[in-house]
Amino acid sequence: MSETPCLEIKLPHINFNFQNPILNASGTFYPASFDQLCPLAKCMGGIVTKTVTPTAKTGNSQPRTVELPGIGMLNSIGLQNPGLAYTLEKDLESLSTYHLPIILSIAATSLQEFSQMSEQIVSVQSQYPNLLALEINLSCPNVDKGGLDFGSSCDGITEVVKTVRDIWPGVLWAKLTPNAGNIIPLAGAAVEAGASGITAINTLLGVAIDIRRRRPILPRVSGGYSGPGVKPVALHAVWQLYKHFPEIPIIGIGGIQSLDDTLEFMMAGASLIQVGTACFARPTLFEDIHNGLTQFARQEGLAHLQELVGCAHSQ
Amino acid sequence: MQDYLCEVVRQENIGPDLYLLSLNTLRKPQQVAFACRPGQFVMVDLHSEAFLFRRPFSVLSVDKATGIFHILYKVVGRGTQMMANWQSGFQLSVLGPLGNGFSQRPQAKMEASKTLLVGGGIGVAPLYRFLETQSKSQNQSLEDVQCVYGARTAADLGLPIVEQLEYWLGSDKLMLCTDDGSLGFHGNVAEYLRQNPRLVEDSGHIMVCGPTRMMQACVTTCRNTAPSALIEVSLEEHMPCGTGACSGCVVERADQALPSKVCLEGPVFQAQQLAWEGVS
Repeated sequence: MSETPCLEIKLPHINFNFQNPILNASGTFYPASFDQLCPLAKCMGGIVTKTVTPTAKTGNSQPRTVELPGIGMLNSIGLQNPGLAYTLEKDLESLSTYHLPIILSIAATSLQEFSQMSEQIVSVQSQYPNLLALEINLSCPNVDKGGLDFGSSCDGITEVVKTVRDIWPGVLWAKLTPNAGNIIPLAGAAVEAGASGITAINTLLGVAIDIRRRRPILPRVSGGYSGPGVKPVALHAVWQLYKHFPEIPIIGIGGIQSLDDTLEFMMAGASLIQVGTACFARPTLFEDIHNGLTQFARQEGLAHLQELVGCAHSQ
Repeated sequence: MQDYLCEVVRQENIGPDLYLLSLNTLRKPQQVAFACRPGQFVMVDLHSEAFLFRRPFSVLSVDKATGIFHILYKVVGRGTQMMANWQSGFQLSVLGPLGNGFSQRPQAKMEASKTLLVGGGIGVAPLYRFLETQSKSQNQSLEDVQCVYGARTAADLGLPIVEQLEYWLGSDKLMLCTDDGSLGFHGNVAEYLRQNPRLVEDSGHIMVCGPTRMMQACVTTCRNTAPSALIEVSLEEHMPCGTGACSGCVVERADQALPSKVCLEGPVFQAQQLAWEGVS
């Protein structure tokens, strides 16, 4: 039996090694349930929280999800969450029990709110040594700019990332939308403004029609499209990002539902990956991917899994 | 909660689009046999690339000795249509038990000491499971339990279900209702409750499960007729995950600002906790 391969992933410029590259996608995960089915502390590299907003949000009305047979799902949850104060007081404490790095996903509707949130987070940072990173969910409307998503323009991204960066000293990831055209200038704006990693991609926009009732299924018409159908789109984004920003860590997300998908994302340039939609039906997927990576690394004689990151570019 | 590898033992068509699915847990070492409280549910993996979500089903019955458990379901879409074709020996993953289940019978010395079960269609499943656990419990009897069970037609009630309910309760404590009048009371269960207030008045604990509108109508009647009774409803929702992960299945609360996840905080709620439109 050969030595257990090292699944650790080191990101540039931070003094921290992820024990493996497997994270969950924000808003698709409930650790207390999942931990009963697979040991999270072993299988995962970190936990991303549900996106938290300055105050509690009740979310959208039902139905909030649409299953799209064979290709994925639409969601229109509406960022239901208990608000930042509750999350900082309660959720971070319970998440800390898994002894994994915590990535806090944040969203707001104005720069002032982003600024206040960052200050609140920094003020509790010392209480939660596991709180490693912030991931900015940029797919939220900027009320000061007529409701246009921050993430849909370079200016919007620059303003938000800079606002948070000025206050939060730690790891900062910008989660980019695929709905605003070429992702490279958007990523460039985020990096320029101080993001230390790019999460790609957020959901695509999609619509489903109830043909019997002759109207959209979702009350707000459009929802976020995720699942296996978005994988090639996400891989394209990751590929392009790695090509243009080889020094910036990429957190790959979009339709990952197997070991092979994970390997594709890593080979395209993702240092870490996030699993979302697929874990609804298969909450043990984190363990399956973890075991699969170990076996793959052993079979391929990889001393460090990190060797895979971006390897497809050199062929 | 575990993700059980199960095998189809038997699949029986017991009414129009109505199926009884019997599953056996294939035990691994150190794995416990399937057990669940009345009202808890399972998420059944359809094992098809076409379907991303599992499907939630209330557990109808569990045989502790053999590990076999049963699900009652109606074919309503492509997923359940596919399930209806499963043959004996087909293997599948079943996640469960999930959710909270009904409360224990209140022990308080109440004048209205009876328990009333109200089921519509396949909503009878958790009530059936309640009767099964009560019948096997040494401390509880079914003497004070009554059940109103309705469906569109006599055939939709499912003969094996009716027979077993009758076996537990006797025909005097089982009230059957059909929308077309083909068996029992001509009308739905909510109408039956309205016309028989005494049945509700005598009840200290009322458990309701069925289509949302049926439950809302029943709750309105029960609240007005038996204001001090503990009224519990088991909600049926589309559930992408069943584990609290997706926030897809929520219900508005009367007693708090944020909605509740039905899979995690339910599926059983006290009726007074819910902000149901049109329920007085």
